[in-house]
Amino acid sequence: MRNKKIIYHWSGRGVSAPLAAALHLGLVEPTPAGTAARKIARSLVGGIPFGRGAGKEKGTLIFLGTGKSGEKVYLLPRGKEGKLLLTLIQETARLLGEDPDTYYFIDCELCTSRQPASRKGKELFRRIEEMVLAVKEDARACAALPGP
Amino acid sequence: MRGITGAVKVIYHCYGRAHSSVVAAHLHLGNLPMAGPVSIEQLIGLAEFDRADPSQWGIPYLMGRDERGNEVYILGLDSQTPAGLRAITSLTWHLGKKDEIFLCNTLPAIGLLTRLGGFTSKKLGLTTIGRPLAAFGIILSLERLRGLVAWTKGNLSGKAGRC
Repeated sequence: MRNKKIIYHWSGRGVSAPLAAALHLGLVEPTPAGTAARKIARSLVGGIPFGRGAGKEKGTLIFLGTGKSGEKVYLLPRGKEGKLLLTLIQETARLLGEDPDTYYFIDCELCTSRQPASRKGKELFRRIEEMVLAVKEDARACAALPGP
Repeated sequence: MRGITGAVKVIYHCYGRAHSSVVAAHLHLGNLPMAGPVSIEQLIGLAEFDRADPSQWGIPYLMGRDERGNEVYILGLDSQTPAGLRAITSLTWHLGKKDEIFLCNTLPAIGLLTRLGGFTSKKLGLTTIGRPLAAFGIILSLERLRGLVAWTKGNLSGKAGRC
């Protein structure tokens, strides 16, 4: 059994990755888009210290919990330019004897920033939910695979 | 700080892993002397000196093993040193392997001349001017680099951490 390590990463501004991780772990109930989604997003901005920019937390890998398929869920505020950090985490894991292929990096801003700003609030929740569902499905399939 | 029981992975890191970290690693491994003069030709003759490019940043590169069996690596972190160190330390902490890595920043040991040489060689592409300039800068900073390496080796014998 190969359990994934899912790393939801984002610039550190906004709620996309914390929201995705919370949805993944079932900490937030999926709700229809609209006012309810905006309210949840707003409360996450207030409650999670990364809502206003990564700042001193940039680069810190934050373990949030373990999913139903045994996958470990992490948050990574990476700043604007995060490619080096993702490479570094994967290569350091390899250095420490881990299988780097079990590390999955999900860019939460890639799938949530394609719509006009006016529709962002309405669409954000739905898009993140779709993304998380796909990730969870993938994690389930991966967990069923035999180990190396 | 806890004592290290087994061999660790020593990572000398700097901006582009082309100058100061390379020299520090060679000093650590005994390929360059810890006392006495070092020539510009000796530095330029090092296989990794002024060679790395941005595609190699973020990837630890194994330089060799020291006399105690510790693996010595070099690493370029671009301008993201604090975030990079946080990424490494948080990952090692999550994996329960925080005592297996020793990080050492070599950037504070070098001066303006090496930075200028590195910029000329790597950013402007003027290798013939930049490389000797960077090497000369390293020679001026050699005692500080030697001190850093001696400090690191001293710490490896009894303590874990990062500098």
